[in-house]
Amino acid sequence: MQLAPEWVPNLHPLVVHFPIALLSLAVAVSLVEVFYKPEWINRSRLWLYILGSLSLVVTLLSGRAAADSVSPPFSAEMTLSNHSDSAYTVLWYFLAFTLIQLVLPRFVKVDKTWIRLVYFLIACFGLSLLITTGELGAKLVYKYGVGTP
Amino acid sequence: MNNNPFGFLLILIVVLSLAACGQSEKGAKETDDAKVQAAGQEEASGDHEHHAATALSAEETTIWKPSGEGADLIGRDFHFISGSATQISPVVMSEDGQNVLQLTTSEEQAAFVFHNKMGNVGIAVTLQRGDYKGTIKIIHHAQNAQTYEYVSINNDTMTQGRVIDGVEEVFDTKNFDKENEDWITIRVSAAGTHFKGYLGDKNITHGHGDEMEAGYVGIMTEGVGKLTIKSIEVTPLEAE
Repeated sequence: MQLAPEWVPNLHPLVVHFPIALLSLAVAVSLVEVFYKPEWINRSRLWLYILGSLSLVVTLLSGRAAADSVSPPFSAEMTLSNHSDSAYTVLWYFLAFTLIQLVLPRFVKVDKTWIRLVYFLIACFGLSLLITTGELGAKLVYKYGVGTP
Repeated sequence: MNNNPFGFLLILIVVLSLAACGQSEKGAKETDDAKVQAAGQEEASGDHEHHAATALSAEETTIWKPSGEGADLIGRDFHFISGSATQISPVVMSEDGQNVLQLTTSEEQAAFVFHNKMGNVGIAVTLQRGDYKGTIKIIHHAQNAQTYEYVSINNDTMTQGRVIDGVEEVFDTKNFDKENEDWITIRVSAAGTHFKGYLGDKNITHGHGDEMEAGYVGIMTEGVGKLTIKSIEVTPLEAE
């Protein structure tokens, strides 16, 4: 069974928007949770980070495969390398942050406002890393035409 | 939310500060890369000033093509970090209206490099192996014959790696399809910690390692036979 339409060069462009959407929403929910702390928001935040991190794994693997299937011009190679390095940083960052959010409540009471604020600030930094990675990926496509016919 | 405006302001300040930090870090990286390229230019105009030779541009692609007499050409545009011109018997010939450089190699290692040092670099070499038997290495970040990075081809195998003080570390090795081989273009990319080898437009090897200090770009032969080179394209890779 073919996973992607034949006009798509690889799976990466199909899956790359999932972590962006899920983790952006997770950060927004983290902000809401600084001020409101009902249980359903807490659960929503955790699930968004879990799903966002898992989608990062899939996106990174598809990106690795994509990088070896294209032949970028030399002028794009540094951007491709930086995009790849940045993607690994984002992956490890959000995996670690998600793990902390799952484990920490077992040892510490985390419903204090200042802890929620720290969560949100950590998430904001992760989001800035994600935006940088996405910007480099967009540059590969729209500036250098990597992966386009 | 309404009862805590100070908290909201604090959040906004921290987010903006983090974004600014990211930008300044990026700026510093660009400056470092520029210094490496500048160092390469200084080296070219300093240590090897006596050569009136093809100098690799630190800003744009340089396409080297053979011209003149073989021995003069090799002496003018390159210098040897291993072996000498007599080991490769360079001759400039005309083929299909284009000049090509034919090397007849002996078994001993020979390596000739451009006079400039380059940092992050893309290299494309168009060559024909003919009856050549052995290994051809496209070398870069070369300090000397004992310390360099390379993409090599031997028969139908491409290998990518580095040699430091004579100790070899292989990043990646793969076989490729060499049916109907005539002229081939080997492309090498050394971008930060990512190293790639292409045959034509097809990626064959991809390895990772620490970024090395700027070094020479050239060709190393470890084999016997006739090897013909049509062009060498060298592109400095700039960080964005």
